[in-house]
Amino acid sequence: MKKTFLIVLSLLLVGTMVSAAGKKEDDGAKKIFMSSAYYTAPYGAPLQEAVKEKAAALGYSVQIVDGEENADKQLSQFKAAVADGYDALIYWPGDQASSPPLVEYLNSTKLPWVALNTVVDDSVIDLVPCMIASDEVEIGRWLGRLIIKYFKDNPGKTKNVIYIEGSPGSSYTENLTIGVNEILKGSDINILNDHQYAQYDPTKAMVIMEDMLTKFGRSIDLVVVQDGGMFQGAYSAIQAAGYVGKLGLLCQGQDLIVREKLLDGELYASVAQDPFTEGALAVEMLDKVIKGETIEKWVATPTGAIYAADVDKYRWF
Amino acid sequence: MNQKKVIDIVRNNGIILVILLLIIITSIIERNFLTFNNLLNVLRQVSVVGIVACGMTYCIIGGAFDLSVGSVVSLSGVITILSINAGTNEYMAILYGLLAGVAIGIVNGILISSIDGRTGEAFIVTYGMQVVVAAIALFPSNGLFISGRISPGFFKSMGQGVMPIVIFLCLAAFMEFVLVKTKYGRKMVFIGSNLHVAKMSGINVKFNRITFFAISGLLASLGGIVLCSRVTSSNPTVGLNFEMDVIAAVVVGGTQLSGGKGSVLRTVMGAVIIGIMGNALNILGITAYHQQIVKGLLIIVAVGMDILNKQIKLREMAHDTVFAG
Amino acid sequence: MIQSLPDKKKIVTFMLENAVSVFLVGFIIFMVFTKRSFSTWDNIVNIINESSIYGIAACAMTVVIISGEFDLSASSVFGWSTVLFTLCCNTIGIVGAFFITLACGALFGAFNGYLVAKIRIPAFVVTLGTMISIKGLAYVVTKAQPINTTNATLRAIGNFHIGDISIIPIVYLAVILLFFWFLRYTKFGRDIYATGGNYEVARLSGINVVFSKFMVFTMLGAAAALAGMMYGVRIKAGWAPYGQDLSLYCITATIIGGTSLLGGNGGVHKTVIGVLLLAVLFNALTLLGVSGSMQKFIRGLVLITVIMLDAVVVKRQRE
Repeated sequence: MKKTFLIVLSLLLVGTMVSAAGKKEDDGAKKIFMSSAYYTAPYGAPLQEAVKEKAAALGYSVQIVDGEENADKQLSQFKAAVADGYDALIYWPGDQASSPPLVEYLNSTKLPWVALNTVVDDSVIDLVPCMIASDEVEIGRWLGRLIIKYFKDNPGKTKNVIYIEGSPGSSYTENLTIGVNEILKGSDINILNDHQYAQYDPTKAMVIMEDMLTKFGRSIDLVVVQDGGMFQGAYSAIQAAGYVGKLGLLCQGQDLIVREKLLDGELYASVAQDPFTEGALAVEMLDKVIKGETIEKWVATPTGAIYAADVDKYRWF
Repeated sequence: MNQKKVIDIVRNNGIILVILLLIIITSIIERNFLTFNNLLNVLRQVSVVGIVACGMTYCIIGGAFDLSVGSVVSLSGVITILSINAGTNEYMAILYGLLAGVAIGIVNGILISSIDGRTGEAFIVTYGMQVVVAAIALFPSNGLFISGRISPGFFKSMGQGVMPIVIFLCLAAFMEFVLVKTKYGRKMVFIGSNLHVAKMSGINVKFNRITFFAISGLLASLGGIVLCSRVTSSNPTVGLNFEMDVIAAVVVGGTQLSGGKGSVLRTVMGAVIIGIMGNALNILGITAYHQQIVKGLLIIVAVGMDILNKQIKLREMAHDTVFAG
Repeated sequence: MIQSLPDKKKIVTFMLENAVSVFLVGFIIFMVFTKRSFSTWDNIVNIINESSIYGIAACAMTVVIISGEFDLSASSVFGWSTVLFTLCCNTIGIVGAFFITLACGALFGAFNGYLVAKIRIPAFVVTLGTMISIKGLAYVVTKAQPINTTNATLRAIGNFHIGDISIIPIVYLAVILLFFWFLRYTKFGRDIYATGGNYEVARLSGINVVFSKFMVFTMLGAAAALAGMMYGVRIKAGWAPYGQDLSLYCITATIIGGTSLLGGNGGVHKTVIGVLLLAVLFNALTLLGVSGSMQKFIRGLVLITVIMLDAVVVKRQRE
C-alpha cells in the first residue's frame, strides 16, 4: 500500500514538473521575464494579466514569477533569468529600501528593463531606465480633495473622519497619507484615530472598523480607506453594525465592490489607480527601451476621482 | 487558611488575573470598552480562530498537529464564494467548502498514519500540504479577492450578529462533551499519550488518527466559511500564518503540545484571552506592532505560569509526603 | 560461507536509505538534460549564493533539532538582525555593527534557551512567543519602515569576490565546518546527541543537559543574526519581515536532509544536502518557466514526497 502510494506521489510530482516545463515554447520571440514582489496581491492579478495581454499583442513571450516580497529572492530570480537567456526584464520591487542592489544588478546586465508600481529608493531613482508607477502622493491629494468636497456637499456640525491605512513602511501607504495631509493642512477636518493599519487585509480592516465604531460610534461622519480590499472589510463592519447611510464612505480602488457601492450611492467617490493601464504601459515602455527609442524616465499611471457617473470609463477587477 | 486559598486561586489561574487587570485598566480609560456591544464584538472576532482551534485541539490531543489549517481556511472560502457566484444553492456551496476541508484532512491523516508519523512527520507533511493547498486556493483567481454576490440567506447570516459566536460555542461544548464522555474521546487521549501501547491494545489507531485530521480540516473549512460570510468576499491568502494564531489559542488555553491531555473549553478560554487582549490594546490606541510584543510575551507567561505552578505543586506534594509520615 | 545479498536488493536498499541524495542527483541530471542554462557556471554560482544565507541558520537549527528541540523564532531574530545591523552600520560603523548584532542574536537565543532548558517551558511555546515579540520589536524600532545603508565598507565587503564567489558562501562553508567539527569531535557535541537521544538517561549519566540545551538555542540566535548580517551584505537593507520563512525553511532542510525531529541523530552534513536540494528545486522551477502558483504547488508536493520516502526508509530499517 505504502509503496504504491509513493510511486503514485512521485509520478505525480515528475508529471507536474515535466508538463510545466513542456509548456515553454522556443519560437524565436523575444522573452520577457518579470519578478513581482506582490504576485498574490489583488492588484497583482489584473496587472499581470494586462502585462501578458500587451506582451502577446506586441509579439513577446513573458514569464512572471512570484518574488514573495523578498529582495534576495528577486535578485536570485533575475540572475537565473539572465543565465537562461531572457531578453528583457520587468522589476516590481517589494519595499523601497531593498531596491538599490537590484537596480544596480539590472543595470549591470545591460539588458533592457523597466521598474513598475513600487517606486525605487531615492538614491537609485535616476538609474532606472523607466519607472512606471502612480504618483502615490497625487492619489493621496485626490483623497484629500474628495474629503473636502464631501463635507462641502454634506455640511454638518462636525467633520470627523476615520482613516484606515495599509501597511506602515509601504510606500503606497506613506505617500497617500502625505498627500492627504498636504491637502487637509489648515482645514478644520478632524481625523479621529491614530494610525490604524489594516495591512491591505479585508478581515483586519473589518476588525479595525468594528473597534473604531465601538470607540467613536455616532460621532463618525466619514470613513476613508486606502484601498478597495480594505474598503470591503470596513464596509462589512459598517453594514453589520447598521451604520450604512449614517456615515459617508470614500476610498481608493477599482475593485468590483467599489463599483457596486458607487452605483448604489453608498460610496461617495473613489480614486483611480488602474492596474490594467499600468501593466500595459510597462510593456509598452519596455518595448521602446528594447527598440532603443528615447523615453521619459518616469511614466505616471493616470489617476483622478471616480464618481458614480464615471463608472463605465474604467476597468474593474 | 484563607490566605492559602487565595494564593492557590491566583496560581491556578494566573493568566486570567492578568487579563482581568488589563480589562479593568482599559475600561477606566475607555468607557466603551466594557459594553455589551464591544464584548460581543470581541467574541465574534475570535470565533473564526476559535472554531479552527477546537479542531486543532483534537489534533494535538491525539498526538500531532495540523499546520495546513490556514490554507484550508483560504481554500474553503474560495470554493464557497465561487460556487455561490456561479449560482449554486447556498447550502450546497457551503457543503462543497466543508467537503474540501474534510478531504484535505483525510489526505493528511492517511499520509501521516501510513508512516506512523509523530510530531516531526506531522509537521513536515502538514506544512507541505499547507503550501500545496495555498497554491490551489490561488489558482482560480490568482490572488484577486472574489467578491460574493450574496443575497440575505443562511450563508449571509452565518457571519452576522451572534451566529458566529453561537456556532463557535455550541461546537466547543459538543466537542468537549465528546472528548470527556465518549469512548471516542477516551481513545483520542489514549492514542495521544502513548501511541505504541494504543496500537497494541487493539484500537484501530490508523483509522482514528485519520479522523482527528479530518475533524481539524472540517473545522478549518467551517471557520473559513464563517470568515467569508463576515466579509462577504473570499481572500485566497487570508489564511497566511493563521495556524500560528490557532496554535497560540490552544497553548494559552493550557493544552499540552505533547498530546494526550487537553480540553476544548480551555482552548475557548485561550482564544478569548488573546482576543480581549488585542481588543483592549486596539481601543487604547496601541499600534499593532506594540501589540505583537505584548502578545508574544503573553503566550510565554501564560504557559510559564502554568508550568511553574505544576512544579511548585509537585514539590509541595513531595514535601507533604516526606513530612506526613 | 556467508551468502551476500543479491546485488539488486543491495542497490534498492542503498537508494532508499539515501533517498534524498538519490532524488537530488536524479533531479540534477534531469535538469542538466532539460535546460542547458542550468549547468552554466553563472547559474551554479547563483544556486550557491541562494542557499548560503539561510544555510547558515539551517546548520544551527540542525544542532537544536539534534538536541531534541526546535526554534520558531529564528525568522524574527533574522529580521531583527537585518534592522539592527543596518541601523548600526549607519551610526557606529560596520565593526561595531557586527559585534552588537551578533551579541544581540545570541542574547535572544539565550533567552529562549533559559526558558526551555531551565524553566522547562516547551520550546514550541517559548519560540512562538519570542517569534511574535521580536518581530514586533523590530517593527517598533524602525517605526515599521524598511531602512537601508550606504556604508562604504559594507559595500566593499559585498563586492568582494574570489572568482565569482562572494563572501557569503565562504562564511557558510566556515559555519558548516565549524559545526561539523564540534558536533563530531568534541564532548560538547557528543553531549548534545546524548541529550537529544534520551534526556533522562543523559541526565542520569552526568551530562549537563540543561547547559546543552541552553547553548544550542544561544548558538542558533547567533547564527540567525549572522545570517541576517549576510542578508545585509547582499541587500544592504533591513526590515522586520525579512526572513519570515527562515525557521520553517531550516526545519524543513534539516528533516529532508535526514536528521530526525525526535533528536539524537543526524548531522550538519546531512542538512547541507537538504539545503542544496531546496535551492536546486527553487532554481529549477524558475528556469523551467513554471508560474508562481504552480511553483508553490510543486514545492509542497516535493516536501511531502521526500518526507514520506524518508519515513518509509526509517520504518524499513526498524523492521
